[in-house]
This record gives sequence, C-alpha cells and structure tokens, in this order.
Amino acid sequence: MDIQISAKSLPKSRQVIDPQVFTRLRRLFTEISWLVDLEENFLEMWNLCSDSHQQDLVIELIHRFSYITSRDVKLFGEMITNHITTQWEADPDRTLIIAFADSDKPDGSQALLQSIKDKFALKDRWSENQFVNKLTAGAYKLKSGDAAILIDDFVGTGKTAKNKITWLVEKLQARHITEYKIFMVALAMMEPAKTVLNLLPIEDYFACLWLCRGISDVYEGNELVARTQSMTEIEELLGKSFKGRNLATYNFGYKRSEALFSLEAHNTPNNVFPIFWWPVLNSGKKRNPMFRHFLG
Amino acid sequence: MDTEQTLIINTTDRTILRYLYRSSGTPLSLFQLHNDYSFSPAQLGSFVAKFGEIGIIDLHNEYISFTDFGKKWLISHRNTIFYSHVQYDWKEIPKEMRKREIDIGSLYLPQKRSLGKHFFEDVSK
Repeated sequence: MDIQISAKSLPKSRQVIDPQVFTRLRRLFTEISWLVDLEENFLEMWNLCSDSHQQDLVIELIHRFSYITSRDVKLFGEMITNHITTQWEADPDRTLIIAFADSDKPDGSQALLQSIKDKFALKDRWSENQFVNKLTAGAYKLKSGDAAILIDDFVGTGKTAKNKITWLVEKLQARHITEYKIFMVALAMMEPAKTVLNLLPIEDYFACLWLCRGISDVYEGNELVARTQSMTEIEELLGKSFKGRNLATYNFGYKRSEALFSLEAHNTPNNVFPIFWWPVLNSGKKRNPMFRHFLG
Repeated sequence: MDTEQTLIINTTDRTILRYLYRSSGTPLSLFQLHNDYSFSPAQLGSFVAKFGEIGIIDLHNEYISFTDFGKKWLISHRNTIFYSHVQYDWKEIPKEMRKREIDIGSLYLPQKRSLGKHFFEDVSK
C-alpha cells in the first residue's frame, strides 16, 4: 500500500462539544463517509435541533439518505446501459434514448443522458443520433415502430412523468404514429411513483434506486407521530418564503414526498425535506444548507 | 479511498498518528483529542473510518489504539508519514512576488537609505 501525504485537512472544531453529542457526531461521521465533506453545513442543520428527539431524527434521516457521488453515477450509468441493452433488448436501429427535459433550462436528465452516452460508444450499431437531449425534440424524431426510452435523474411523485408521457403520446397520435413503445428509466424513483407509472401507457420502467418516504414509510404508530412532530418543529424554524415561493408548498418535500436523495454537484429535487436545502431561516437570516435547490 | 493502491494521509491524520505513537500503547480517548487539540468530530470520525477499515487502529469504547499490524505498519512507514515535506498552498510565495535570491555566502550590502536612522546605534547597544 502506497502512502501519499496530503496538505488538505478538514477544519478543526471552533468549540468544545458536550461529550455525548461529540460521540454521536463522531460515530455518524465514521459511518457516513460522504458527510465529512459537508460537515459545516450538516452542523448548521444539527444546531437547529432543540431537543434529543429532533437530533435522533436528523441522524436517522442522514443514515437513510441516498447521496449519489460522481463515482456512483458511473456505476449506475453502467447499470442503466445494461438494463436497456440486456433486459429490454433495445434494438439500436429502432430506439431513441430521450432526456426528460422539455424546456430550454439545463436539466438533470440531460446530465444523466450525457453520462450514459459514452457507455454505448463501444456497443455495435449504437450511434450518437440515438440520444436526444429534449423530449420536445424526441417527439418529432420518433418514427412508427420506434421505441422511446425516456430518461430522468429522479422521479418523485410521478406527476411530472405522467404529464410528460401524456404529452408525448398526444404528440405521437397527432403525427398519426400508432406503433411505438415507451420505456422509462431513472437513477432513482420513489416507491409511491409506481402507482402513477403503472397506469401510464408505457411498456416498463426501471430505476437503479427505489426510495421510500423518509418518515411515513419507516415508522408506525406513536413513533410516526413523534417523528412527524419533530420534523414539523424543525421546519417551523425555516423562513416562510424565499424568492416568492412558500415553504408550505415544500413541507416534508414537494407533495410531502419525504425524499432523501441528492446527486453530488447537482440541483437537489424539491421532493427532499426542505431542512436539507431551504436557504433561509424564519429570522430572515440565510442558511448554508447541505444541498442546493434552485428556486425561482 | 483505494486501500489497494494509495493511502492518502492528511496532516490531521499525521498529527493523530503522532499522538498515538507517543502514547506508547496507552489507548487515547477520542473526546480527549477533541477537547485538548480541537479535532472536530468529522476529523476524528474520518480518521477512525480510514485507519480502522484497514486494521491499523482499534476502536474500543471511544478509545483508539494501534493494532499489532498498525504498530508494525507505522514503524515501517514512519519516515514517509512523519518526515515527508508537505506543500502548503498558503506557504508558497507566487513567482511574480519573489525577488532575485542572494547566493549563499555572497557579500551583501544593505541600502543605507532603506535602513532606519538609528539602525546602527541600535545594533551597537
């Protein structure tokens, strides 16, 4: 084993912490390696907790949080590629892989599409023309008998997927294309989205990660009531609005999705609990949240 | 961290390894390290994860100590770990801010104008 000495170190503590709290945090940082790089942001969130129940909840949520690093994206990209070529046996001559983006704004689906594109480079008959970075463009490129594989980084409630797939089907019908197959693939999907996806006119869907709701799907009875109460109390400390958006829309995540998911260096979905990304406190002071979500 | 290839040791790791080495086999309390030297929970948590995973240290009741393998490993790598020069970005003076260096042993005549009026008086005191 080679050794390399690095000058880069984490910052020291600014103050001495209570021994019990220190031990809890030390253990957490040992168990969750990705948290080390977000130490300051995490501690800021931790300091919002006013009692041990809230601290317990934060620690439990961090343990269940799916934080996808760039290295993971590479592995998941290979998983998606294998699923498309092996499980779905997509015909390279009759398939378009289309990002879910439908506007001129940059989107996580385009980033994922770009990251899996190179996995097809060495596969026979696949060409760059089969990757489309916008659903609106894909709808006009699809021909009769083609398969459309729609790709997104994250599917939360499934509502967006429903709207976009419905739109795509309408466009295809307007173009008198009746023979087509639609597949849906994402890096991560939330379990409740299955109910929505099952009702859509798609052949199949696939996700590398299936996520359950961070509180409601994990606890029952009194525990559920207590954890819900703790999260409500922490969320009350957040600013009521930011850039014209109301926190109430995002309580427990958009549509109460209770998601625990973030992709390193990407826009975090608004389905995630806002304590992880909402940028202001109710005092008006700005926070330094663990993750970023672009509001407005 | 790719333990098969390269173990990256940062300056925090190096300092904690030094304290452990000096403790002569007495386990060190993680909280004491935090209390006495201000190591953060993240620094210590990361240290425990990194060196515990490859069997260099043992963690028992929040006390750390070298394993037998760890002791041998440290002895065999002590030069690299403790005496390697670390290049700190903040210590480096940018090229454009440096003047010509004077050769070692060369004669040097200070610019009298740059010296304070009472420089030589102070020197002679």
